[in-house]
Amino acid sequence: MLMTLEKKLSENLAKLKKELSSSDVEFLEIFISDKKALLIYVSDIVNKEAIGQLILRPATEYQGEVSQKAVSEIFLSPEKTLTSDLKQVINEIVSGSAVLLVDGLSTAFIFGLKKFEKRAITEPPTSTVIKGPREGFVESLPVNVSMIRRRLKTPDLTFEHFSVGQYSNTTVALCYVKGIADKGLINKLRKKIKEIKIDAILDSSYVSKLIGEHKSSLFKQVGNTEKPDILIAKILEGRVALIVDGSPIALTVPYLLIEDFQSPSDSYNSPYSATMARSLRFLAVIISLYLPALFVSAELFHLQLIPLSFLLTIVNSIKGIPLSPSYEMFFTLVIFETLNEASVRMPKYVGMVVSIVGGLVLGETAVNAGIISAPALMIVAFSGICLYTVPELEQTFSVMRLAFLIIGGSIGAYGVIVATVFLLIYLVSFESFSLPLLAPFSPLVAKDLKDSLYKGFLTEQSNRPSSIKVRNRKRLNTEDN
Amino acid sequence: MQYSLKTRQICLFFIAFLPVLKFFLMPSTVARFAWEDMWISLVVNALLDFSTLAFMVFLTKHEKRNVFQILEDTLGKIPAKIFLFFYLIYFMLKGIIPISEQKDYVEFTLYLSTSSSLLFAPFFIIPIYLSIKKLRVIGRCADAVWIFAIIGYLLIFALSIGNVDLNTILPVGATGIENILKGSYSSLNWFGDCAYFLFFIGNYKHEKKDTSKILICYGVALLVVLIFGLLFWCSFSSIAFRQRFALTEISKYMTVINNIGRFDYFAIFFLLFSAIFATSLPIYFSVILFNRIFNIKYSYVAPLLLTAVYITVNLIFAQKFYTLERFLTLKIGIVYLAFSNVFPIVIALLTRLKPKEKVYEVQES
Repeated sequence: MLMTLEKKLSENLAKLKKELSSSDVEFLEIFISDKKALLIYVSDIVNKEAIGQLILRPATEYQGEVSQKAVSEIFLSPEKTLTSDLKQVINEIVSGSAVLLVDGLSTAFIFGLKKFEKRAITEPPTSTVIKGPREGFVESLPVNVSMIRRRLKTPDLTFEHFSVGQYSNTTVALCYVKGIADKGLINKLRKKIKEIKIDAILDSSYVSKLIGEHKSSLFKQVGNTEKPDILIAKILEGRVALIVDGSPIALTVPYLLIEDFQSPSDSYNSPYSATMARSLRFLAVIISLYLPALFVSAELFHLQLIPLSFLLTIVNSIKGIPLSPSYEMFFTLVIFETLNEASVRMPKYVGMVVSIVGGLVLGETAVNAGIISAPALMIVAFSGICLYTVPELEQTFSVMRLAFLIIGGSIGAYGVIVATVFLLIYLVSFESFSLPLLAPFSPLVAKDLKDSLYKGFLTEQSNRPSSIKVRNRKRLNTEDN
Repeated sequence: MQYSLKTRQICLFFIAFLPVLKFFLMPSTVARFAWEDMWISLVVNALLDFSTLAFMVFLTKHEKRNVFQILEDTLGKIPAKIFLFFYLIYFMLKGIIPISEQKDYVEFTLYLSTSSSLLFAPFFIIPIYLSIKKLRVIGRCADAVWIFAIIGYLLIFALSIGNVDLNTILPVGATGIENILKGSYSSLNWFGDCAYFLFFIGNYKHEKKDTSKILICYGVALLVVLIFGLLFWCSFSSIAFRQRFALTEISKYMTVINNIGRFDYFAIFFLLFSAIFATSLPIYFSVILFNRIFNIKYSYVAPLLLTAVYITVNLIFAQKFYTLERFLTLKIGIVYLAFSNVFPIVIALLTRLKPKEKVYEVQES
C-alpha cells in the first residue's frame, strides 16, 4: 500500500517517529519565514556542514511566502528530489539523505548530503603490478564510479542503479558501454538483479552467487576485478560490470576461465613476456593440480615412471616412514592447507611466526623425525606455490587438487586420467550467460587465441573477442585494416 | 538456424578420436595374419573407410535432415526404427573390444604392482556422463582433446623411431593376398569409424571446401594409424604378433628410457586421455539410437542400461576375452563391413530421394 505524506506536519512527524525510532535519527525543528518545518537525518551519515550551509542558513534568512515552488528555489543543493511517498522518505533518511518537511505541504524535500567514512584509494593486494596503474577500487560506490568515469569520458558509459536487499538496500550499479554491450545480456542481468530477494547484500560475492546460473558449481561463473583499468578493458570487450556499494570487488559478466590466467600487468608488458608469463601460469596450475596425485600414483602403482636414480632417492627417503605414500601426501597437503588458512586469518605480526614455525620448524622436524619424507614435503610446497600464480582460482583448484590426490592414491594414474576426462566434459558443457567457460579453446575460436595463453600485439587485436556477443566488433583502426 | 557442430569440430573429432583405439590390440592382431605386409592390410581398410566417408560427405553435403529424418522419410517410421535397432546392435558390438582391451591394458600393463578389475571400473562413469550430453559437447570435446592427441602421436612416434628397421617390410607382398585380406578382415572391428559420420549428417553447416577439409583430416587420422602400424612392425618384425599391447611395447626400448624412466608413459597418458573418449563413443551413439528408437528424452536411463550391458559382458568374458575377441574379429567381420561401409553409403544415397516439398529445421540429436 502506498503511504503518502499529509499536509499537517504533526501527523507526518508521528508517522516518521513510529518508523524511525533509532536514537541516531535527528528531528530538527526549524522555521522558514513563519512556517514550521522539520529537518530529519541520521546524524552520523550526513554532511552536517553542508546541512548548515545549504539548508539551515537559507531557511533562517528567507522571509517570503512559503510554497512548494519557493522552498524548491531557496535550497540550492545539487542533489535535490521531491516526493510525497513516505516509504521513499524513510529509505532516503536511512541511506544518508537529509529530508525537509514543511507544515502545510504534503511534499518532502530530499537533499543528497551523504557523508560516509571511506578508505583511501590503494593498490589492491591481489593485483599488484610493476608497470601500469596502481589504483584499486574501494568500498564506496561513488568513488569507484568516479574512477571509472575519469578513464572513460564518453556519454555511452552507462550506470544503472538498483537497490538490493530487504534490510541493507545496497546499491548495485550495472555498468556497460552503450553501443558495445549486448542488449540481451543487459536485460538478462537487469532481470536477475531484480529477482534477488535477500535480507542484505554485504559484498559483491553475494551478487555473484545469486546471479550465477549453476548454483552448486565449484567453478566461478562471474569474473571479478579490483582495478578500474582492468574493469574498463573488460567492459570495452563487451562485458557488463556490476559494482556493489560496500565492496571493492567489481564483477564482470560473461566470464571465461582464461581471464584468470591473464594478469593485470600483461597489458602493460611486452607481448613476449606476457605470453611467457601466461604459459608459465598455465603450466604452474597443471603442475599444482597433478604433481601430488601423479607422484603418489607413481610411488604406489607405476614405479616404471620414475627414473632409477630418483627411485633410489625416494626409497631412501621413505625408509622407516610409517604412513603409506598416499596418506603421507594427504596429511602433508592438509598441514599445508591449515598453515595457509592460519596465515591468512592471523594478525600480520603473528603471521611471520606461523611461517617460521610452520614452514621451517614443523616441516624440518617432521622430516627429521621420519613422519613424512622430504620429497613429499617438497612436492606439496612446490604445488602450493604453483597454485598462487593464479590467485583467483586458488580456492577452486585446491579442492580439485585434493580430489585428484585421493583418486591418484586410490586407483592410480588411470583414475586421474578418468577424472580429468570427467572434468573436461563438465567444463566444455558449462555455460554461463550463454558463453562456454572454456572458450576460446573449446569451442575453438581461432581469432580469440590472440589474447589467450598467447598475448598478441595490440595492433593484432583490432576486433573485440569473438566469443563475446557485442553490438560493435571493431575496436582498433590501424593503417593495415 | 542453430547447428550442433562446426566442420572444424568434425575434422578434429576424427584426428583426436579415430587413431588411438587402433594402438592397443589391433597391430598385433593384424601382424598375426599379414606379417610384414600388415601395413598393406591397414591400407586396404583405410582406403575402404576413406572411400565410404568420401561418398557420404559428397552425397550429403547439402542435406538438412539428420539421419533419423532421412530414414523415416524413405523407409517409414517403423521400418526406420527396426533398421536403427540393428544399428544399435552394431554400435554395441563395436564398443565391446575397445572396452575389453582397455580394461586388460589398464589391469595388466599399466599397473605393475596391482591387478584388479576395479582399477578400470571408474571408466564407466565417463560414457554414462557423456551420453546425457548433446552432440554439441562431443564437438567441443574434440576441440579440447585434439592437441593432446597430436602431442601423444608425435611423442610416441619420436620415441619409437629409433628402433625401426624399414627393411623388415621387404619383400612387399610376400605374405600373399589371402593373408593380407585376412589381416584386413580381422581388424574391421577397429576400423569403420566413418559410420560415426551418420550422426553428423544435417547437424553441421556445410560451406565451401568443407568436404575436402573433412576428408583431409580423416586421411591424416588414417595416416597416423598406418605410420603407427608400420613403426610397430619395423620395431618388432617377426615377434610383432607377440607384443599384445602395441602402445606400451612400441617405445619401451628407446635408450633414453633407461636414463629418465618410462618417459613414454606421458605420451601414453595423453593417448589414454583421448582413448577414454574414443571408447565411450560407441556407447554414446548407441544411447542416441536407443533414445530415438524408444522415444526417450535425454536422461540417465539409456546410458545406465547400456553401460550395464557392457559391464555384464565384461564380467562374463573376463576370463575368456581371447575367445570373445576371436569371435568379434574373425567371425562377424562381415557385420562390421555392412554397417560401417555398405549401409552408410546406402543411407547417403537415400538423401537423393528426399521429398522436395518438405522444409526441415535442424534438430539437435
